Amino acid sequence: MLSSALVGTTSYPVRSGRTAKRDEFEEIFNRFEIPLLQYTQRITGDREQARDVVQETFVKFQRNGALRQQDEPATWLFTVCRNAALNVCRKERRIMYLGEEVIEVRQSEQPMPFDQLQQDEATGFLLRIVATLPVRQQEVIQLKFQNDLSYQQIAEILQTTTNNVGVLLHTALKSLRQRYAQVAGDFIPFEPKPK
Amino acid sequence: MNVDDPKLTAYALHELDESERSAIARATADSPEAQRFIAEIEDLARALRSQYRLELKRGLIAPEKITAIHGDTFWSKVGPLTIAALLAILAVVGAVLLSSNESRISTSSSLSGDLTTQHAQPNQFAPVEAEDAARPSQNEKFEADAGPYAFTGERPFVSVMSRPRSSVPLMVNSHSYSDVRRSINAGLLPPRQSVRIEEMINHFPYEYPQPTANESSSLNLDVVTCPWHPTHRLVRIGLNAQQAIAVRADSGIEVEFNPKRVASYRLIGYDRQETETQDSNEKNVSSHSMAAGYTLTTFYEVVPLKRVPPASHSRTLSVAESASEPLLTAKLQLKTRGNETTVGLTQRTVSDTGFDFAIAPSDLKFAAAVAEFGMILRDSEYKGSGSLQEVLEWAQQGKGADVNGYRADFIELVRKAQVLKKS
Repeated sequence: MLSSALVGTTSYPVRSGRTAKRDEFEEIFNRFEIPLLQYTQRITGDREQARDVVQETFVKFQRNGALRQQDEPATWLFTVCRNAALNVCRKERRIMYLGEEVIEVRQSEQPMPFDQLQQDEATGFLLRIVATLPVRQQEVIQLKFQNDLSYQQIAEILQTTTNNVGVLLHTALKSLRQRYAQVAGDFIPFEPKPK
Repeated sequence: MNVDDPKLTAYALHELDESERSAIARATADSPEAQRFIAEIEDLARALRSQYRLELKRGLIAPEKITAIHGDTFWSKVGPLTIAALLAILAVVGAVLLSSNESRISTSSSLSGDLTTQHAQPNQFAPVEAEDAARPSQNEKFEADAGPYAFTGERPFVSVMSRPRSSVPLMVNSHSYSDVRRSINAGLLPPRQSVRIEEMINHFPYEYPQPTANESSSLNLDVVTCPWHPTHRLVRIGLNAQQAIAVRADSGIEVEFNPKRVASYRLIGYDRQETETQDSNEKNVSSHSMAAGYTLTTFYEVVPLKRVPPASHSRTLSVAESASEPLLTAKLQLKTRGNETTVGLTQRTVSDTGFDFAIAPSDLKFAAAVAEFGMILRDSEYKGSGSLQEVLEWAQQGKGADVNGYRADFIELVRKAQVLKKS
C-alpha cells in the first residue's frame, strides 16, 4: 500500500497538474495547521498528541482526495481532528462519555482560573477570557471567529444541531461580555459605546 | 423583546435566513436594549476576529507547529515534494551495462579502495533529496535562513508530511576515514569539513546476508533505539550487492517513510559541501563499477509519531497493527546507461518492533559508534547525548570477530580523540 502510490514512469506532462494540487494542499496546510493544533490541543490537553492527531488528519486528507470533493475543507478537517482527538481521550480513559457535554468533564482541561486574567493583559485579552469559558464554548468561539465557519458547519463538526450551536455561541458571547466588563474596568473597552 | 435570545446573536452574526432576519429587524425596531445587544455582539465578533487574526499573524500560539517541532523549515518555505519532479530527475538518466564477471571480488572490504581510485568526487552524489534539484532557489533560501551559524551542510530533520521520500546514493568514497585517522594520530582533532560520516562508516566491512536466488542484491533493514537520542529510532540500511555491474552514479536506494509512523527523519552523513552546486545532479553521468560483494551501510535517524498507549483490552490488536504498518520501504534502484528503466529492483519493508540498541547486531552497534564519533568530531547539532566514552563502549560491544583488526584500530583512535578533546 505504501509503495503503490509512487510507482510511475511518466515525467513532465503530469507535473503542472500535480504541482497545482500540491500548492493547493500546501495552502490549506498553512491555513489550518495552527487552528487545528489549537483546537485539538484544547480537546486532548496534550500538545504532542494534538500534533500527532493533526498530522494524521492531514495524511488522511491527502489520501482521501478530500481536496477534490470539497470546496471548503474546514468542516472535514475539524471534524476528523475532533473525532481523532476524542478517540485519543477515550483510549486513555480520561473522559467519560456523557453525551453532549463530554468534553467539559475532562479533568485535565480545567478552564484558566478567571482571577488570573488581570495579571496578563497583553495581546489578545479577549482570547484570554475565551480560555476561561467551558471547553465546548471555546470550541464554537474558535470555529466561528477564527475560522469563519457557519452555524451549519460548526454543527456538523460538533455533531449537534444548528440550534444548539446558536445557544452555545449565544451563551459564550454573553459570558464573554460579562467577564470582559468585570475585568475590563480598568481597561479601555474594545469599543466605547456612546450613550 | 427578550435580549437573552440566541436568535439575536444569530442575527448579529448574519446567521439567519432572509425571513427570520426581517422578523428580528421588525421585533427589535422599538427596543433600544435589543439593538444595543446586537451592536455589542457585532463589536465583540469583530474584536474576536481581529484578535484571532493577530494571534495567527504574530505566531502567538500555544501549540508548537508541526514543522517547528521537527526542525523542518522546508515545509513552509519550499513546499512539498512533487512526485513528478522526482520522476523528472530520474528520467534524465541513462545507463550502461557492463558485465564484468572476471572482476568478481569476493571480499567487500577491498571494494571501497577500488571506488576511491576510480571515481566519486564528493559532488557527484545522486540526488539525495530530489527536491534539492527541483527547486534550487528556495533551497538556497533555506540555507540562508540557517541563522548565525556557519554553513555546516548537515542534512536537517525532514518532515515526512513535506517529503515522504529520500534517497541514498549507492557509491560512497572512503577518503575521510584515513584523513581523520591521520589527523588524530598526528595529535590534532580533524577539521570539521574533513569528517564525512558516510565515508567513515563505510570504511569498515560489514556482514550482510547473500541475496536470494532471484535477486542481485540483499537489502537489510533494522530499526533500534537511537543510542544518542533514545526517543528516536535508528534505522540501518545495509546493502550487499552480489552482481558485478557498472552502474550510474545516480543509482541509489530510495526510501519512503510511512507518515502514519514517522514524523520526520534525517539521513546521517552526506553533508552538503559549500562548493556543491545545485546542478550537480546533472553531472551524474559517470558510472561506477560495483564489484560483487559491495556493501553499503547507511543510517536514518527517525522521529516516530508518538503512539497513543493502547487501552489494555486492545493491546494484542494494537501489536498486530503496528507489525502490519511499516515504518518505511526501501528500494534499491540500479541504473545503467542505455537502459531507461531500473535494471535491478530489490525492495524491502520494515516495521518497528521496538528493539533496543542493547540487543542490536554487533555490526550495527559498531557502525552507529562510527556515526556518532563523526558527529562528535563535527560538533554536529544532531550529535545528541552521546559522548566519546559511549562511542568507545558501543564500538567495543560491536567489535565482533574483527579479523583484520580495523575495529580495534578505530577503538584506539577514539581513545586518542578522547585525550585530544580533554587537552
